[in-house]
Amino acid sequence: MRLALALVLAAADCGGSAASGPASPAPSPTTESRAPDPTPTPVPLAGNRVAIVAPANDIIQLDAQLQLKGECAPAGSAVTIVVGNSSFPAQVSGEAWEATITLPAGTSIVKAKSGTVQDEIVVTRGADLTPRATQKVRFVWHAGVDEELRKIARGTLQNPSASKVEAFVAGVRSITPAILLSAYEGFDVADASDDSADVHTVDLLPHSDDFFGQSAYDCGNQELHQQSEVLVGTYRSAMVDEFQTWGPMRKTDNLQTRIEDVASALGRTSAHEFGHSLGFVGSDQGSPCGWMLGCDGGHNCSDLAESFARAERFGSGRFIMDPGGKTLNHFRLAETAPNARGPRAPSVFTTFDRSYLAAIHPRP
Amino acid sequence: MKTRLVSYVPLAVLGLATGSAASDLRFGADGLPYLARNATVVVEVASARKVRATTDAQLFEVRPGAVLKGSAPGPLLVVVAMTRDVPPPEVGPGATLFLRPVRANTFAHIVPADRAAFEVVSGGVGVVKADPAGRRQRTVREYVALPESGRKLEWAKRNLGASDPYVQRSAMLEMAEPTRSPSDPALVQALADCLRTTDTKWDNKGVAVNILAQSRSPVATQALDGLARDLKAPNGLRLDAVQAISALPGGREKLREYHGDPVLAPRAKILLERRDSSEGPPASARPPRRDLADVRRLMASRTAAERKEAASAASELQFSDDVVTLLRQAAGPAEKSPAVQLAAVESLGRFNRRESALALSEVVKDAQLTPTVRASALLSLSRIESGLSQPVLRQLAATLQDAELKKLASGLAEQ
Repeated sequence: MRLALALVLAAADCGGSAASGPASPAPSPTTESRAPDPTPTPVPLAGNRVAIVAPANDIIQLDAQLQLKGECAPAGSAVTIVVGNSSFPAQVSGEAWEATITLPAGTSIVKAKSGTVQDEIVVTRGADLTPRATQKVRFVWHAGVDEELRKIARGTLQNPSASKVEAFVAGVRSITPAILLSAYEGFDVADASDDSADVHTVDLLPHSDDFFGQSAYDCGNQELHQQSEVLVGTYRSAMVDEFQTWGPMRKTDNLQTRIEDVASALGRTSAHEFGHSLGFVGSDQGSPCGWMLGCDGGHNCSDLAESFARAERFGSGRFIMDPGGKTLNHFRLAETAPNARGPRAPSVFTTFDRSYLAAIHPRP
Repeated sequence: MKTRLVSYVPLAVLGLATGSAASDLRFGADGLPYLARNATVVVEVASARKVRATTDAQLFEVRPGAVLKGSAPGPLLVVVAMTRDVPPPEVGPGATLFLRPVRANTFAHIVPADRAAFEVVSGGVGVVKADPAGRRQRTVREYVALPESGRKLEWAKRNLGASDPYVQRSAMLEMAEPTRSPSDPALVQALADCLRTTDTKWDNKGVAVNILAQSRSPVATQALDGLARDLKAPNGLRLDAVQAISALPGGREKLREYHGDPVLAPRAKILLERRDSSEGPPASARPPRRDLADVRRLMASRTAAERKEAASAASELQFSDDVVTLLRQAAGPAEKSPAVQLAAVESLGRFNRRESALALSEVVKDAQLTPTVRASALLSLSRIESGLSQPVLRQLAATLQDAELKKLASGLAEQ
């Protein structure tokens, strides 16, 4: 399973990662769906070209042996693989090449060179990850939360009737769990209605604070029975008191739109906090899973691109595990821009994060 | 997924209130504007002594060297929440602390009951580390002393290219303060300028893109266009710039110019198509973009991802009874993947037809389906033209047995 992690990821139900070529951009969200590029884009090889086809860019490799496959042109061109200060010749057959290299610990840039052209990917050799049992998750709405939701409805819609306010509460509570489950689609995560040893509980609380939620960190998801907290009161105070910062929300929006806005925000925070309990994102400050190179208190690191240009692990909130303080509000609403409504595009996990989930919760 | 209501359990009982947890901060809660706005007392530390420490919090006795905001006579008791992965903040000489009184029922395990104490705003990030050269402290001091918005804007403009990342980020966050108008020409110009410099960090440029998107200014369009074309910028940021441009003056023309860029072209194409569809003929008058046989084949796939793709693609088919039947089945209890069911429900709501309204009504009434799928069907139903959906919603409001769904149907029927 370890050797095939990249393939497992590529075959994951709703996601995967793109093979990279010189002309194919690093996995970037599209407008309709922000999942990292799900299918490789064939790149015609014209002139002198070399491309790494497998593994995908920015995945976790648990085995020290990394199998590489690629294409080159013209046929039969010599291809050299470079990792750090070491070089290895690839086996070339026509326009295809293969190589097996030993991957050093940590995050590496792997280059394929042919003459004056090259392609590169980022690969991280992970550790301490083993497949875990099915992780179940349930939502518990605590007393006081409904009143916070009512305040959001009254404070962000134009004079909603009592009936609409109650519909808002019912709608948000019904839809929020689906947002979390959608985020983990393709992995061995299931919903639950009652508590048990394999159930993670997301507690929705009425409090307001400097944060929207919090959760204990658990590298490799060693403990299935944990809790996260999502503070609905924080959303109430942020959305009502600073409504103008929540574009594209308008007070003239209809009830259905606002239900989707708030359910998206609560569901995203639930997915984010649940993610911490699964082990996102180990940092290099001495914590377990430090090889994940997180920062900002266990989140995707905005500075990582300075060292690894092809590792796209931060997106100002378009990725679920981006740090909250750097998450733009419209991404919490599953909107792509603050100035216009569009098809909802919920935040997603990065390619790297998806490969982590594939390692610990592969779909059976 | 069922949900249930339980009595509120204080955070501390759950063990996370101050615990070694990773938290999802509010936007900007790590920067000076938020900290200064939410602190009642701001002090520079002359000396500090750790009084007590637990795994989740540290208690200090702090002698202020300077009080930048509020009143802080004598030594202060200050509690700092510890969060995982953030190194313990250096509460030492020169550090600036943004404080507020400890709230009721928090930190009771570490704060003596008979002493007034303060907590650091935003946990550990409310301790601003001292710069040995003293530059950061001077800048922070200057900011906290500024009395009004106009002078804070000037401060921010001066510091958008600051070499100190903390100061630069705080300057950008000052630009994003809720009290500011995104259309303010001075603000727009400053942000446009910072998009062009190499001094501003990429993540801070992301905040600038967000503000400029709301400006409705041609100056913003030009600056965003420059960022979109910057091959050194992260692809995600370039695409955010394109997204922002699409709703700004001259946006359509700019989108057309990106057709040759492999990174920008796909997004630009989608945005142009969306603009055309919102301004062009109704969907029913446009040729279908998918083939029913292809969608039907995909819908029979063994993988949920492909069935979900089929359910979503069905919304682009020519309307027919066959399409409704296909989607009704995909939304039904025989389908084991909630994601497929939800996609089917969404697609049904995209047809402004009585048949799709009735199909969604059946989904809502189907007690074998989860509350989430049934509620989603109600929301999807409400997107259909009101002349078609309102009678159905009213009937559902009158007949549904489930109390939560009944409430939702009643509210949506009012629109």
